[in-house]
Amino acid sequence: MIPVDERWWREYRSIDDVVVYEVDVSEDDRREALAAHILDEEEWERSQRFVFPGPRRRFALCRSALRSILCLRIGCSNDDLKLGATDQEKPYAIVRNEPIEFGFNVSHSGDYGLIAIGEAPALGVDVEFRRHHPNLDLLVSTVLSPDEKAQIASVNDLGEKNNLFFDFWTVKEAVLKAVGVGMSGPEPSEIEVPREMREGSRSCITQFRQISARNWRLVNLGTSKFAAALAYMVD
Amino acid sequence: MASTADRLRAMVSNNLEVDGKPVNVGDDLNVGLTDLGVSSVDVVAFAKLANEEFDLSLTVEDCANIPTLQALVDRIDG
Repeated sequence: MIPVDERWWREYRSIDDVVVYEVDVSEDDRREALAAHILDEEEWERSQRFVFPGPRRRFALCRSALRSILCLRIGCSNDDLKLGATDQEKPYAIVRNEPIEFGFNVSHSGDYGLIAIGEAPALGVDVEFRRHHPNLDLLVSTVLSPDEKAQIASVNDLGEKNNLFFDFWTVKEAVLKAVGVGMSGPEPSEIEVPREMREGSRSCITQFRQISARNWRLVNLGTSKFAAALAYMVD
Repeated sequence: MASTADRLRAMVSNNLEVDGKPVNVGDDLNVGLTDLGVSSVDVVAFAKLANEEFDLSLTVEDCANIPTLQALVDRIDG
């Protein structure tokens, strides 16, 4: 187990029963060496298939942090924990052949990683570091709803357009990840960010009728450095 | 006219970035978007751009599931 003062993750936010951890995925040889010892053989091989060092490092640091957090929460050893993902990229965990019932999700982008863990199995998190996207117009036309497009069109500043786009995108992606249908689910343009969040609210309860009649809590976790959102089903 | 592989290489390097640098896949196209570390938002853009460049009708799911760029070249040329 990694001592507390050497961990590269820390609690970032706690909302209802969901805890969101921030993972420091910046370059650090010592941490990367420690992480390598936490990954199982399959995960290590997966990490080595990344062509570039940045994605390789982010995967290893986030996956090893996830393993450590889950082991502490479940009370199991790292060797007893098996992590995997469905064909639709919905993550799951098995401990001594028993699936765990709570939800968890991981996202990383640039120097930022987030891990969310909560009681609801339908739980998703997404993070994107803020940047100018070279294909912003194409993405806006493809993944946003008419109202979302209109809001971005009403902004003149390119940086603000990019910020708004990533704010909207991370909400959509968090919902789609929570549903666990990957790229085969509803079109992102069908997952409209609720008006109150588009107008600045950091959290809301809403429904997506094309997914289910259940309520969702959406939370904007973003900062000036990164856009991020959390989505999970509530009763 | 440039080969499909060269056009795809150019499309990748002109539109995909990892850690702020253009993705240069070099001669070896036996690599997938996942292995390049391309984000989901970039996969969405890639699908649209590939459809425009090669007159395809790929879905985002198709793009995410294509195992390698060479497999995409084979599909286009096939």
